[in-house]
Amino acid sequence: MISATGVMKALLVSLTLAVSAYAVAKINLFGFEAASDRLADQVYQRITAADYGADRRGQRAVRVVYLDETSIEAMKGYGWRRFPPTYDQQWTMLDDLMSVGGAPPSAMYVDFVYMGQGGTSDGFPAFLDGLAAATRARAWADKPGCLADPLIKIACVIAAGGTPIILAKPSPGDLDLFTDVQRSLDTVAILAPAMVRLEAYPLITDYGFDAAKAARLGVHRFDISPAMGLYAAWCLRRGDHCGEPVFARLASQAREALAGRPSRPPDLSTVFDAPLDVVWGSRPDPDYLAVTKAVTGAPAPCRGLASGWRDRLMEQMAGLRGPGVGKRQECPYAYSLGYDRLVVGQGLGKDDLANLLAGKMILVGGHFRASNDWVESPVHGQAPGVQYHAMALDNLIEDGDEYRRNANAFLDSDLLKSAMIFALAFCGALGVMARNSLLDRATAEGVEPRLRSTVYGPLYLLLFSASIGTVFMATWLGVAYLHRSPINWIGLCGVAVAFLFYATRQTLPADIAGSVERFRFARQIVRLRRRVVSLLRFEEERLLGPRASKSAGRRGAEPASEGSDHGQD
Amino acid sequence: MVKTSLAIAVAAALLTPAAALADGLGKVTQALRPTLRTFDAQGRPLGEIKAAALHLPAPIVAHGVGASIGIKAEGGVVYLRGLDVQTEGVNATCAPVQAAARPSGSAYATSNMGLGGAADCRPARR
Repeated sequence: MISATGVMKALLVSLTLAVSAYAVAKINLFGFEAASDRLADQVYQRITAADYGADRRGQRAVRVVYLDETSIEAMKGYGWRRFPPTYDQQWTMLDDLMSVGGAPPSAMYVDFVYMGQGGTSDGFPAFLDGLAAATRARAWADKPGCLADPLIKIACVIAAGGTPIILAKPSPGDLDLFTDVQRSLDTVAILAPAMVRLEAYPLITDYGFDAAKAARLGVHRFDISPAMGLYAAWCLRRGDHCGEPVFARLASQAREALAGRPSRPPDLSTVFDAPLDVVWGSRPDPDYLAVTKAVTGAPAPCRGLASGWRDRLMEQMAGLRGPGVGKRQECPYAYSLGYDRLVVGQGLGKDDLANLLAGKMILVGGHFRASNDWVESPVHGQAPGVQYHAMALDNLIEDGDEYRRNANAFLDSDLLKSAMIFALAFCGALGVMARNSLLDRATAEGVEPRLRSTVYGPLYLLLFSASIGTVFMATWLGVAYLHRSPINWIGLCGVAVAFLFYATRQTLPADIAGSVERFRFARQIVRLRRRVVSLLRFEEERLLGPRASKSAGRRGAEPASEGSDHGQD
Repeated sequence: MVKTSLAIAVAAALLTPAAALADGLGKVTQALRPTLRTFDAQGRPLGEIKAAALHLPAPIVAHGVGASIGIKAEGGVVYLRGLDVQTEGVNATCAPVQAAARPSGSAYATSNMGLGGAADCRPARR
């Protein structure tokens, strides 16, 4: 049916297309390729956001308490006269979060970067003492085994019966500075670099510093991200250690270290080996919706119930592209509450506070519009940085070590795309050849006019659908089973469809016309199309001369002949 | 004697509506901490008060800046944090953050996220 020459031709065409695609991707002219990759991921996330976290495992554990401009205004009624507030006031805030739920949280992360003291009477000693008491620093601060790395420090805090408190610091990779205040805080709490403007969310960062530089910058072997620290605390508290033997080993080594015996902390970077590609969910937390209703008397002003991927696909294909706004504005994925609302207490009962704080993973951070700590979320639009950490933590709780890796961190994703284009083009070219070969045979046997509209025309439809379906399937398989960020499915679909249109350009219009010509309306459309094509045809007449004009004139005069022209591609 | 009676009558006439109004703001029924931080109406810290020194239940007589809760104690009105006390009959009308009219000069800090701040809450009128 298809000759060897035909197969070789298909190979050559596919290879040319794939190599061209690879070159275009690598050149990345005007950043178009990178933007296209990002767009494909964003649209994929927007479509599938409602399917994330169906069991709400992460959502039940993660809470965000925030400060914003209005919080600071309201907190004037409680002695806050400036921002940042004094260390004394900050400790009051943390102490509130530690105590008013009736039981302390599992762990806490404070997304404010601590650099230095605000003044001599700032209450820094009170802050330090409060932290030391919360983390039970007296039990572990003098044990070298507990200070080997940040993860075993967290394990020691938990083994000592304390609450791990993680404080933000600038990344030592960005800022070659470790202040006295940070050094003091490092003795009673865990410091983690608060990342900004990163493509992927790192979990464990080994800077490769020598021992002297690491000591100068307060790096204990490696640094962990806030979400990694909180996730470690969460797993260390669970009986099954999240099903990860490394956390069980970490817990046992922490007990050894706490007892003053030598310990060998396990290497978690073998499990958490790549940055996390944060997946944003859109399922609103029922507790958030309930509390909003309780304190405001009105439903949350955001997209309440999750809608499925079909609705979202239609939205993305229609005029509602981009993150939802107005009535379609997504609710925060993590249960979020302003600290001032907590302090005022109106509409919040004891049960609400317990549900909000007791045994939860609390992230405290800013929602200040005037700050630059905002990230672009594909689902929620602009989101505060603390929500980014919360979502990363949620991803880890939901997916464990099968979290979504950033594809670019592993392999040349451009190569993968090119391979995909090669396969699609090769199969598409073979498909077109096979279809045309069948049509040739039918024409020779005289059955073509009968079958063309019902069999050979729809074969094209099958070919196009199969190509697009293959891209969708490959995207879904890659995300669901390989736990990688989606390939550029929009670009791949575009290339596949464009290639198929090109390959079938001579026969496709006739086949479409032939397939639908039994409908009167379709015949009218076909006539209209011919008229429009005829009207638009002007340049080729000038450029190609009388031959093109004659040919065009003949086609215009013999419309019936268009239905039977087909070519071998 | 007449003057004294008249003074008492005038005082009663003046205080009765105030008491009724105060009662309308609800009351503090329980202290949730052994010692409570106190503030004046403007939010200046006054120090701390022991929970045992409060005569509970105590009617709320006023709200300070940031909706702090004012009760009579230590010979005057002190303002407490709602977080530190259990209240009854305090109904707030709060606007969700996206619909709230923000104080002038304040950006829509949480236009995407969160429930909004206490600035969005106004105690309900009765």
